[in-house]
Amino acid sequence: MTLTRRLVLMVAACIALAILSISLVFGYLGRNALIEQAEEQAQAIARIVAESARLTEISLEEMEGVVIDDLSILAFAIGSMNTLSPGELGNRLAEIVARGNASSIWLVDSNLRVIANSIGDYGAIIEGETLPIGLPRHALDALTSGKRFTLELGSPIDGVQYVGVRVDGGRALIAGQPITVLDPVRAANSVPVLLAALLNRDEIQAIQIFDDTMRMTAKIGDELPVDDVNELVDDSISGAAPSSDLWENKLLVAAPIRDSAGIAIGSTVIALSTKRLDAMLSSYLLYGAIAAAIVFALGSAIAGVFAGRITRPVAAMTHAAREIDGRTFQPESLNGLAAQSDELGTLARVFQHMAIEVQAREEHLESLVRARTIELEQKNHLLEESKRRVEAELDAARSLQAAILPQALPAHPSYDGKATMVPARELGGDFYDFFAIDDRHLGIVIADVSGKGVPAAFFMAISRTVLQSTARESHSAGTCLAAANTVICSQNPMDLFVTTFYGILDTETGDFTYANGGHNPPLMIRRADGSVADLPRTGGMALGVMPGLSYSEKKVHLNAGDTLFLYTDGISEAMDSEGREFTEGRLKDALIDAHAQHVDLVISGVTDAVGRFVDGAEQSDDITCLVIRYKGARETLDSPTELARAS
Amino acid sequence: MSITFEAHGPAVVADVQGRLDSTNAAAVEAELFKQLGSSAFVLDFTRLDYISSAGLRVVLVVAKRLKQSGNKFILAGLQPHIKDVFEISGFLGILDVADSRADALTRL
Repeated sequence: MTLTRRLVLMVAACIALAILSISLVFGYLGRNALIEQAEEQAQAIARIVAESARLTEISLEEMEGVVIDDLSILAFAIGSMNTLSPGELGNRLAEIVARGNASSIWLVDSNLRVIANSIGDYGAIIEGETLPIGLPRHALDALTSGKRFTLELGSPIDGVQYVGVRVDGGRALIAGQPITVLDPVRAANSVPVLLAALLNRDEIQAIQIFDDTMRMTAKIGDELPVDDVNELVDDSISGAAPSSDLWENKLLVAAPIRDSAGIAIGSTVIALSTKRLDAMLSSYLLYGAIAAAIVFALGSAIAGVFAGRITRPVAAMTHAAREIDGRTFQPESLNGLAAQSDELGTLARVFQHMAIEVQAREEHLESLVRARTIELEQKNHLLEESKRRVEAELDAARSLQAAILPQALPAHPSYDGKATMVPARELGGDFYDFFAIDDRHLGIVIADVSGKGVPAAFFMAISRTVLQSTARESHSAGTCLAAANTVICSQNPMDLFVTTFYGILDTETGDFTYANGGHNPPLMIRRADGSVADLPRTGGMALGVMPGLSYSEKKVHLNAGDTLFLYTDGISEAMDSEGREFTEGRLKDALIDAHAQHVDLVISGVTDAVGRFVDGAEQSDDITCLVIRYKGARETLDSPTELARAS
Repeated sequence: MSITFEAHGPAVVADVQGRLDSTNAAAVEAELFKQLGSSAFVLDFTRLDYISSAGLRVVLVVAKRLKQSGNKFILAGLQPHIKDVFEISGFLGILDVADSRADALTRL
């Protein structure tokens, strides 16, 4: 999802959420308004109930007033009927009773004796000709004495209210009227009737009236929960304010009933259907949701269009950047955008400029790389060529080095010998040599030039030539080395040196005279017991170090069959892959059977032992060794048995 | 193969460790020559395990150079097998050898 789309969706979602929230708030406010309205309704009903009660009272009082007025008029009329006999008067009174509301009428004198009554002529024989017992005497006296004109005579007696009126002549007219005559009025004004009129099945489902002792005095409509209602009534009376509660699908509202002084004397509870409440709330939510959906859809679409328009330059530049990467960018493709005067236009111009620079630089770099690559290839080629040449030359040097060494000892009946040099990969400076000094003497050399490479190889060639030439001039090994040393020192610009062992075998006697210029001592293998031992050391400096040195000699005697083994440190210091050296000890072990072996086998025995020891590790130094076996003086060799034994 | 140099009063002591052979002789020679000045020089071989003929040549060249410049050169702490190599090559005859570095420093 792109950044643009995310932003658009987020904004639209926020707006939709806001609309939903507002709908909820409105729903809540509407609900509160409805409850308030219901409370007002309940208060109105309470007022109506209170008013109706008051009106009922007033109308009853008015009625009584009317009755008393009637009686007064009647009293006047009777006062003027002096001509009539009590009997006729009684008949008249009976007629009045029969036609009016009064139940009985008496005319009494000042002594409260009945002059006439509404029972008429039957008064003599029917009880009731006397005034009802219980009428207040002082009130009657007040009437007959003329102190009061009309008077209500106490409370009703046996359901009849009595009223008195003064009549001329110290008389009084007493009329009784059943209080039931007011019942229709009372009934017409009664609370339940009022309530029934207020009941509306859709809105007000039940009304209940309570007095200030929480006793229910009237109820109409559905049953309501007693506990909830009592609580509400208590709240409304004690708080003198409406209170409300929701119960099942009804809204219960209690409002205090106030008397004319404004004191709460009871409570009206009405139950309203919550249908309207629910309908309103759900319609608010529905409209809110619809509005939110519309806003979301419209907002997303419009914002999408606008965002697309705003980010189009960015997309164009992203595309351009990709084109730069793919080398297909045309700077003109951003011309339209660059012409804009806003920030994006500036960016496009900078981008265009940068892209042109980058392309130019890249082209320049590429051409440089191409040129350098070609150059490098040529150099590489040259280098390989020269490497091949150098290797070829080194190979040639190595072959030459090996070739200049004598391949076989001069054939001689008194000795037998063999030498080998296995060159290392790098050019080395080992060499051996043997030469017949004269018919009787054989010169033997083994030497090792310090270091490696072409200088060592050159130095080896020089040293060998010098030794050969000095050996011809002197029959003493020590003198020969001393002379050679002086010559070598004078031709040694690189401070190399060569350890050199030089010995002369007298084939007639078997005497072996030798001197040693710093080389490791050769080994003497005695035929008699097979022992292998170093030749005694003579002490002596390697050749080339310091001119003018002398070299002392030593002499050993070789018996027929004794063997000398000369070698360089390429053998004793040959190393296996873990860096361990072959050592002189292993060399002596390898020579344990040498006294009984043919000289060829002695050489191969040692080189094989070294090969097994190094086990494939690269050979770091030349491996050079030389074996010579004395077979005895020529005369003794004439005996065939001796010859056979020695070989 | 590693070399560390220390100045001890008027002398420079080179502590040479490991193997000295034709593979590193040229580098060691160059390293040593950088330190050769107008002071006495001690080559401490106490921790040298192996020396080839190329290594011998390095010692010889150093000795020659110091002799020319008139400075003292002492070879110290040769292990027996190293000493044997020096002996066989005859170099012990021309080199000043001390048993240990301390011994060498007292002789300067």
